Amino acid sequence: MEFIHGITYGFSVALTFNNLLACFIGVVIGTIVGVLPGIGPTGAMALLLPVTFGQNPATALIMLAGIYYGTMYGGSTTSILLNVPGEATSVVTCIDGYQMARKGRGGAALAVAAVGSFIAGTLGNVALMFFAPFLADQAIKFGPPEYFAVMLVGLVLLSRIGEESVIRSFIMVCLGLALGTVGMEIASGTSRFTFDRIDLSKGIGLIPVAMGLYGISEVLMIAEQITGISSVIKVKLRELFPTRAEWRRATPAMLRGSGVGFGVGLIPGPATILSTFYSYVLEKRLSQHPEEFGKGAIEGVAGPEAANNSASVAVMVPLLALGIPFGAAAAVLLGGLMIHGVQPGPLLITKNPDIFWGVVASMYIGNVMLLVLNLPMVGVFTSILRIPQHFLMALILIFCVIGAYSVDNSVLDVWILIGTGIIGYLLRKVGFNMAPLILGLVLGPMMEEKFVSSLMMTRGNVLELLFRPLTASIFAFGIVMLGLPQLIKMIRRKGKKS
Amino acid sequence: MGNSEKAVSTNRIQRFVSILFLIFSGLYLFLSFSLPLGKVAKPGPGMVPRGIGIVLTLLSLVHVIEVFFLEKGPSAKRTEDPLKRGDMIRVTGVVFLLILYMIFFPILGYTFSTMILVGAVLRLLEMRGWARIVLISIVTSGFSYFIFDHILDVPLPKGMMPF
Repeated sequence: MEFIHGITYGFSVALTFNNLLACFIGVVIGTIVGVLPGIGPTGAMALLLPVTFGQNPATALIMLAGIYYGTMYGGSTTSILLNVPGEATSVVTCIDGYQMARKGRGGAALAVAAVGSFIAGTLGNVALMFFAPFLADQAIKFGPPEYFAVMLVGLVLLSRIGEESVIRSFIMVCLGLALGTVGMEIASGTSRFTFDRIDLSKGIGLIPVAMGLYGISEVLMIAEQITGISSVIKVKLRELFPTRAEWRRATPAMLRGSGVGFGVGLIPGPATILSTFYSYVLEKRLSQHPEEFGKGAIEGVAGPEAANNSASVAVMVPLLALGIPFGAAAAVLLGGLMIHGVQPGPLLITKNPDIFWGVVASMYIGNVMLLVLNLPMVGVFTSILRIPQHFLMALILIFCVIGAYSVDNSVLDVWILIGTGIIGYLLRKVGFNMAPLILGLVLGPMMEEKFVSSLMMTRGNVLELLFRPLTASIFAFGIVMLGLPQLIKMIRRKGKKS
Repeated sequence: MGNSEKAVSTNRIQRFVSILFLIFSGLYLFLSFSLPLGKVAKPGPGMVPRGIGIVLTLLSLVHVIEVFFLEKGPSAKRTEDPLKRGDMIRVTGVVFLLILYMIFFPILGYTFSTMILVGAVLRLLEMRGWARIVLISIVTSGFSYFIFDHILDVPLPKGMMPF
């Protein structure tokens, strides 16, 4: 019954004028960001963080979360109508969505994507509502070793799942961890790698780095290749209604996609992207018409679009229950919470119920807003693609500079922004993934603190640290997750041979 | 810009990046030695950085070997288009402008330095029509200053300028 009280309170928070407005602005910006290729949810949230400075923490998080799940909706529009994925999460939607549009069923594809996203977002939210408080209750039993184990396993899994090259992923993780050690060490008060600069003693902030890696590098990418857009397939309002047969095929796919997305979203890594691939493969396997996949199968749109939305909600579970982000976008959300003076962790739900329940309730409202916005206004959102890239670039540049400067009123942060932007551009040119670096930077200081506390707690006995029941279980889970893909491959190979 | 135009291959960028990683990790490891290590039961501020430094240096070394000596480097099939000369000039130009911007940012303040930066970048990227460029740079920098400084109470540096 506690959750009924919680969600009722949540709606009383989310339905205030300010929070409704924040939610609306968040989902509209999210949809726009989703439509525009390039700048993704992580960059957008980092860029818009300064807009939230004058707001209370719940309002700020409601808006930032709105941007995050809003991008999942917007990304599908360009995939279906242009064959250009607005986000990496909508790459899979291009395959069948664009084929449907070419056959004159673009409206149905858009409707199924929006309804699928709505159903998945809502179901995911219900699961979040039950699961996060449960996890937070369990996490109160966690000591420093358990926290360290969760973060270490999270980082390793992210590096292993997200990249083809393990070396490159681990380099990025270590780079993030190394940047995280800059500044004053809390336990001893020693300044590390500050070169006697007082403004460096507070450390290298997440926001300038995230803005540089995602925002400034995007500006340089645009500078490199100013391109136009291809022609958009036009959809009329009356074409937005799928046929009865299409609904019959799409509905189970949406439900399966919701389940797959939520499951994958709980695992560290680029969950929103991976979930779409898993869902697509699953739908193709289960379909009675697998030959239609790639030629405009509606399940190929419904499943993945539901999956990425559900995953984006599931990503909130470890963030809100443990205070540990398992992805770059969640890391920026965590940064947003910390800037507003909120201590993330298992006590967040009890100490700041307005934030947890307010955000959960706002996500129900936001999903309804997105459904209403995305269907009739699809033409408006696609017209955003006609904004000249020059203008877009000027806007990104301005938001980056303001965002980086305003966190601490520090010119050094703007230098960090520019520096990481240039490095980020080079890394993007050769296909490096930025998420492990961002996560390393955010988790680094927390991990060090827990690691040092753990060693002091066990008087330097590393074995005792590793074999505590909960710690050992977490490590075992990590090992299973690492080995599982290999095991599945082996079983498949054996199956094929026999 | 034809295909015959000189281009910087992504392989060269890959090599440059791998060397950059090695230099950074070596420097980081070297600096971490100046921090007290402590004991296992009571780690000092240098223990974690040293551990990270050792792992990062080893990984960077392996990466350099992969990129320079192994044919199947990690980026072999993942690289994007090579950087053509014209594109490179534009990118280098924007980088140069960003560095200039940073030098003048504390002196001229946010509004004026941003106005000049936006205008210069738009011109560099071959946007046509001076009037349009001037209008966009004034509107974007002025409007953003007004929104953030006056409405959202986010103080922006003024430098020697009145706003």
